[in-house]
Amino acid sequence: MKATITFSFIFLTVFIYSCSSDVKQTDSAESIEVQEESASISEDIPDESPSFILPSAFHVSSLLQRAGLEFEGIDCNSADNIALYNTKNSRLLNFGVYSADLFFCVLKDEKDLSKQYIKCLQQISEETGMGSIFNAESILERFEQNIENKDSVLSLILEVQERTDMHVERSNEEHTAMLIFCGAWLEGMHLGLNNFQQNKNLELGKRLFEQACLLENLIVGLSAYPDPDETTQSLLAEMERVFASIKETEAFQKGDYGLIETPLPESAMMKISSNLNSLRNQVTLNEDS
Amino acid sequence: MRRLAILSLVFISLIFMAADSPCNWEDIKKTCEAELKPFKYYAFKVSRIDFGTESQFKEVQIPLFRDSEYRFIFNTSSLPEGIKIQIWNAPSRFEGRKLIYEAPQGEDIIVYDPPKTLFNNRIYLNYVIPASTKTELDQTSSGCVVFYSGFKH
Repeated sequence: MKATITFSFIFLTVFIYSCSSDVKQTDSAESIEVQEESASISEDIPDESPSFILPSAFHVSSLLQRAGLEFEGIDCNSADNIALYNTKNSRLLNFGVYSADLFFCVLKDEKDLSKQYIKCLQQISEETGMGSIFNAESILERFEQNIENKDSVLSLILEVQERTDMHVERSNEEHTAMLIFCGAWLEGMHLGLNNFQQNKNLELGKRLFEQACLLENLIVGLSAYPDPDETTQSLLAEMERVFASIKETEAFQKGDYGLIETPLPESAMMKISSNLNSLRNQVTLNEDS
Repeated sequence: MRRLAILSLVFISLIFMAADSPCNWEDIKKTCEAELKPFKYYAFKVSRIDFGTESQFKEVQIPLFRDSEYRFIFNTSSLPEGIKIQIWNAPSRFEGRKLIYEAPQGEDIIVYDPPKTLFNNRIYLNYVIPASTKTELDQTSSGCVVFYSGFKH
């Protein structure tokens, strides 16, 4: 009997180890796929498709705010619209939209709106299988307790952002991060371009041009989206259209791997603004294209 | 009593097997976090590396923004062999690109604060991975580089 128990334990140990090895093999199988693309690539042969990192949506929001972006709560997405989002992709996109709204509201010290938006993020995270971002250390509770202390609130929202990135890495779902960032990017551009039209703030214009150049990566990321639905397809088509109009400008053509130090021409801004506003309405009101 | 001893042995074996994992990126990331202050979290990327019989090359684009300050932290502690970490101002396909930085070799954790004047809106990390010096390649020939970064708010 003892021998049976011993063998059972050994078998169990080997079984558990082989399962964990399977997981590792799956991981490395993915690496091998990547490596197969690069296996023949030596230091001298260029890789045509470098991978990229998505920037921090909070950092982007804070740069736009420092450039003079002004907005009213009414310009943001209504928290009530959350009821409209009934597919995973529309929820993820609007997780990004609400993240940007939260960042701008926190930076502007709009406490009531900030509370509304962090609740929206928690709800969407639960609906999309990302509940662990908020559950682990009751972020919402800490957010409400520290709402009067801007530094604490900033630290908490950066924690939410890092937890989201960790969730994406654990679940190997880079496309999830892509949709979330697209939503945040769209909202930042929507608020920024509307503001630019009113104030013609040149510093904001330069920042918006920097943001517009991120489109290239968003298009690459969305093109590789594994399960595109109508929303993601129309998002991709619209982003390609907007990027084509940016590429036509002299300012873009000059900026080959340089530093953007000029705003886009006003005519290009107006064109982008009109395209992106309609896209942003499709996303936030969950309208068909 | 004997049963307890066996259970303990099994438990200890499992711990060692888990520790053998080639890329415990969450633990590695924690060591990077300690180096971040006074910067705020920007982004991180885990690049998995399997050493092979031929050299390899991985490129990662990092978007940056004008007039901002950043800190880059690289942790290579899980790699069984050394690699070169370089930062360039343009992708490898771009002729005439310039090398901004090359990390010192032989260090597990590298912290680099790029001067604002050196970079563009996009910079390119290159991991140059030499062919393995081992004759038999197995799971222990794998690992990962954790890139962790912050910005000054």
